[in-house]
Amino acid sequence: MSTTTLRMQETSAEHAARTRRFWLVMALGALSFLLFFLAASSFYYKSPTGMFADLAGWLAAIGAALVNFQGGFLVWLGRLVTAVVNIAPMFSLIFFIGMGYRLWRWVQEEHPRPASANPLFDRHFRGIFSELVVFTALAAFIWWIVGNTVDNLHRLGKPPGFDFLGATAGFGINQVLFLEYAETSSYGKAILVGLINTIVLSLAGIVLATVLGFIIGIMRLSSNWVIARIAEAYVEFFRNVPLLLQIFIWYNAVLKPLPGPRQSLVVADAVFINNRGVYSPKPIFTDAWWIVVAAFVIGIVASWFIARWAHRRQMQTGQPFPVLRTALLLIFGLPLLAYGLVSLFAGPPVSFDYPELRGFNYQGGMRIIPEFIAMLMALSIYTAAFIAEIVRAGIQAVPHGQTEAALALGLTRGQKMRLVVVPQALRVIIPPLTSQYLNLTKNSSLAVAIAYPDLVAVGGIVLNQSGRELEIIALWMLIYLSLSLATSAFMNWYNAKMKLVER
Amino acid sequence: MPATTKKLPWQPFHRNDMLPPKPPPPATTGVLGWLRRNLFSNWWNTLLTLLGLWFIWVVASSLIEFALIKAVWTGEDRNACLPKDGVEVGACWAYVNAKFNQFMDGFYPADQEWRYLTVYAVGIALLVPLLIPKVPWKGLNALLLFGAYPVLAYLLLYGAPSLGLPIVETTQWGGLLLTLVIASVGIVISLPLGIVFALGRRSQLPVIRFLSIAFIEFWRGVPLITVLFMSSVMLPLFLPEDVTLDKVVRPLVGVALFAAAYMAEVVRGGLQAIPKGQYEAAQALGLTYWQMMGLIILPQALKLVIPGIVNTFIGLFKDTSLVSIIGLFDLLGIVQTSLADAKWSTPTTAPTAYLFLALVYFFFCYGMSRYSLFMERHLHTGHKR
Amino acid sequence: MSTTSNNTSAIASAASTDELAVQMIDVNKWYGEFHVLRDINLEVFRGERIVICGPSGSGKSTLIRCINRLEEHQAGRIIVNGTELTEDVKKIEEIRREVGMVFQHFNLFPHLTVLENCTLAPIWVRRMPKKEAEEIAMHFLEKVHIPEQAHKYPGQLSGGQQQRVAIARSLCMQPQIMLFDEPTSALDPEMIKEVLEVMVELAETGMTMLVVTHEMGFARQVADRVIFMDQGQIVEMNTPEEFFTNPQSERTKLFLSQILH
Ligand SMILES: Nc1ncnc2c1ncn2[C@@H]1O[C@H](COP(=O)(O)OP(=O)(O)O)[C@@H](O)[C@H]1O
Ligand SMILES: [Mg+2]
Repeated sequence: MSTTTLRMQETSAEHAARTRRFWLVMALGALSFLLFFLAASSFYYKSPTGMFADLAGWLAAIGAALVNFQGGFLVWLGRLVTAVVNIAPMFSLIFFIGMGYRLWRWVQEEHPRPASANPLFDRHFRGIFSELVVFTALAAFIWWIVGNTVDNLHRLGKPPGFDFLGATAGFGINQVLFLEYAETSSYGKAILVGLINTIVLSLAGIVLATVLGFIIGIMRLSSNWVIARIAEAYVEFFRNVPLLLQIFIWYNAVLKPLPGPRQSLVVADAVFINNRGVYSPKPIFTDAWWIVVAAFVIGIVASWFIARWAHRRQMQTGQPFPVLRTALLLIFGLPLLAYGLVSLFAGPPVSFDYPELRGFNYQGGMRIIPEFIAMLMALSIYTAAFIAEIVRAGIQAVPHGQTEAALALGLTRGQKMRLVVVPQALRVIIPPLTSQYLNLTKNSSLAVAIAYPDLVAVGGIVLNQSGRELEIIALWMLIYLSLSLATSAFMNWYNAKMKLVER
Repeated sequence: MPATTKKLPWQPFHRNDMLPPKPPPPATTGVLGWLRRNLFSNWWNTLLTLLGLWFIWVVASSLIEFALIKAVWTGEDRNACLPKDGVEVGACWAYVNAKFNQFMDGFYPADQEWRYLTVYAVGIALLVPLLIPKVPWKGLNALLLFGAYPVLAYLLLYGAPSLGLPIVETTQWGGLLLTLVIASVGIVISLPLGIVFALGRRSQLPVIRFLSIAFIEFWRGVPLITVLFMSSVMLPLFLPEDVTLDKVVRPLVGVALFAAAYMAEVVRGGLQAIPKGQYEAAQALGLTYWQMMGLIILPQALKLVIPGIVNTFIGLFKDTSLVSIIGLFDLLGIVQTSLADAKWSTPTTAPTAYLFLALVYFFFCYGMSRYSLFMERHLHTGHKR
Repeated sequence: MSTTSNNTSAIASAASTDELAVQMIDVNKWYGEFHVLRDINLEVFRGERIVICGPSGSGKSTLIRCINRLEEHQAGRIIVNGTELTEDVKKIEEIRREVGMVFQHFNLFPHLTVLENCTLAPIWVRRMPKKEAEEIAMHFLEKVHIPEQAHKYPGQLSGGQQQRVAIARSLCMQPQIMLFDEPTSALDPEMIKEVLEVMVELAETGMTMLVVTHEMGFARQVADRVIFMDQGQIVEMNTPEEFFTNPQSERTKLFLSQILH
């Protein structure tokens, strides 16, 4: 390597310069180390050496927290957060030492070009030094904040910790899915219920927003002027009005004025819509229901195999096969057939519990609370406006020449879309689409405004009751952040993969 | 050549007199042709057109009926807007009229209203010339707007007893005034901060790059409402015991940092789109890093991402409505609160209030997006890409 | 020389339709108010090579794009392979199967490999087994001298190579007529040569070709007829020898003096 040759040719003047540089760096490094400790310790401990005494304490606390692991996922998670928060200054110290190491390496290692004799004019040195300054300032700042927070919390008599998650919640939640929850359950359980509600709302919203967004996006590209203008008006209106307002509109101006239970709107004599929500029959499955489910699964699996077989056969013989029609027949026909047969021999495999008006309200059946409906409508309609723009831009990003070439080859319009336009448009569409999904998930936190019991709303109740601001907010952020980071990791992977295929 | 050996199946041909252009067949141009091409080119299209027109008719007619024809324009209280003789009434504009002052400024003292009106007037007088490309003195204008104007606005809005302006506590600010204050402060802080973090994210220095990435990804990864909770509940915890932060300043910090992270990503997109040759040319001229960025790279990059920047502004403007959740009385917050007023409780109060809000927010956001479209076109002339 | 021979006389001498690949009768087209094709009458015989030239904006592209209905004409008749072009979607698809087109900017599908570009239409339009389609594709890729690039993506090829792939892609549908719209004008000089070579070889196989180009050397070498267009009309039509040595109309002379200088 050229570095070694350079090193061998080092003159004595250069050597002297290097030695000088070394000592200067060491002096500056030592100085900033000292400043760092002084600043940090005096902010936090009000004494320059208190830090080391506490270090041992932290380590012991982490150990204890980990050893004391006694059930309850959130409690455990909370301990982890406490530990991380507590050792954040530790991390900065480690990082700081790492920086020192970099500086030292910089002095030891040769550069391909002769460095300036005065380190202050050396680009690398300047870079490392400015990093050091920024980092020191930041570490001191964080240290100061953490110190203040710990001080304040101690003063308020609530030292940080997540053990409160085990305490009894004492409040009810009007939408509990997949879990058993009662007022006697713990705070941790309540937050878990909220998390599930957030996930259910987000998933439903994503499905609806995608369908609606693609429809509107394609409408915007329609050659029919009226249809294109309607889609444009939709996009412009819903994009430019705050989501929170749209949520209020759905909740207060659309769902609240619905008639009371006694005057419910009735659909097909089984679904009742009123200002307390939507009541629909609740299916109750008998043991024989699994046969119908199995038929459905078999239909899907068989369709998949048929699709594969049909593709292979077309590639081999050129014969096409009506895959879609066959698949639809299998997926819907088989369960129907199974249903019929089971009903014939063992009685109907599913019965319905119909909602009934008792007193002032409906009992039985299945209830979808109005808060959920309002959130779902607002979220999906709002996000669909953004998705529509993404879809439009994605399809428009495929050059017109591609369409022309496909048509000139004799492909039908459907084949042109399926084989040429869509595969290219999807590459443009998927990354921003994912970020819209993420936005929708984050926006579902506005549920707190109309008290749909999502993660933030339930967390808010817990926050108010227990007074644990720090812990609840940290929990919120941790959960949303991990979701976002997982999604961006997926996106990076997807982008890298797609790029590789193209070039 | 085969053509020369055997007899040609075609006749050589030439013309010296050129055919003049003829007008197109009547059904293909003009209004009729346009209609045929865009609305009725085949039966499917015709069906869509009719369906679309029907849909527009239904939406527009019910909206006009509600907002104009059946609307109640004047009245003292809810009685004016209740159904009369079983006939439903439309929008209750009387209610908006009665509450209008509150919607505009919250609880700002009535005799001091001139102060924020002056701030509006000066703001418009400084902003409009800055937004119109043709008006000269851009530098001076910007200096006034971003240097002198904030001081003036602060003195006028908050007050300075030494100048004879009694103090109006921020708890009294509200309505559109508060919304505009939060949005504009957020915009003014988030852009430069975003640029700094975008530069940081593209820095050669690993520590700075890492810190910028961490900052950006953190704020982009969490919902704004949790940020607002954090800034309103936790900011006081972060500070020493004896320091207190104003109730309006707290969410401002949150909103500004949050928007800055999104802004940073937008600006980064612009920086990435600048070809490497530009950096090399700037360095070859001997410019320092800051000169290169300030004179060559950033002006081009920012120009490229104007739509993204304005979109972030629009997002920020809409997001100001979230401060109502943490108990501030911004436009949405104060309207929502006023709905609880029994004096005006009628079936159409809420729809009217929301229609009013939607119109106000739409006016600002749509205006911004139109302006960015205009700017984009303006900047693209003479600009090949 | 002011005799304006009437173009319709060519129609009178028309041979039986199965000798005709393309027949255009009084074709007119407008873009809005702009009259872009004016009374075009043209008969293309099977196996004929026609070069179309003319100043930019004279309607050359529009003319050949009307043949496979990438543009719609508003008056007159166009008959391709004995089938008249109407609104009938099935007929349009049928004609497009038999008419290959090569574009100025190649328009290869960037998400597919070279081989997949070539087999896409045979598989989906001609319902050909994949193996057979690939064999045919390799055959034509050899004809255009790039079989070794079959598994690369278009983005990895040079302009000349891309254009040759585009030619192979059209040939894989085994069309009866090939349309070329300035196939070399987006290419660097050294690449023009390799594409023209391929086109000359194609002409030698007896393919019916309509070529919009300003490569006069190519016109001299392979064309049976040269057509000069201006202002949306056919101004002059003759054999290459006559056309280049003895142009009749003033516009043709001016154009040739500019292009051959
Ligand atoms: N889609 C279109 N809309 C309107 N005018 C067009 C369109 N395509 C081409 N033109 C106009 O028609 C004329 C002929 O175009 P073209 O056939 O591309 O010319 P050439 O290929 O001879 O250069 C040009 O003046 C061009 O501006
Ligand atoms: Mg052309």
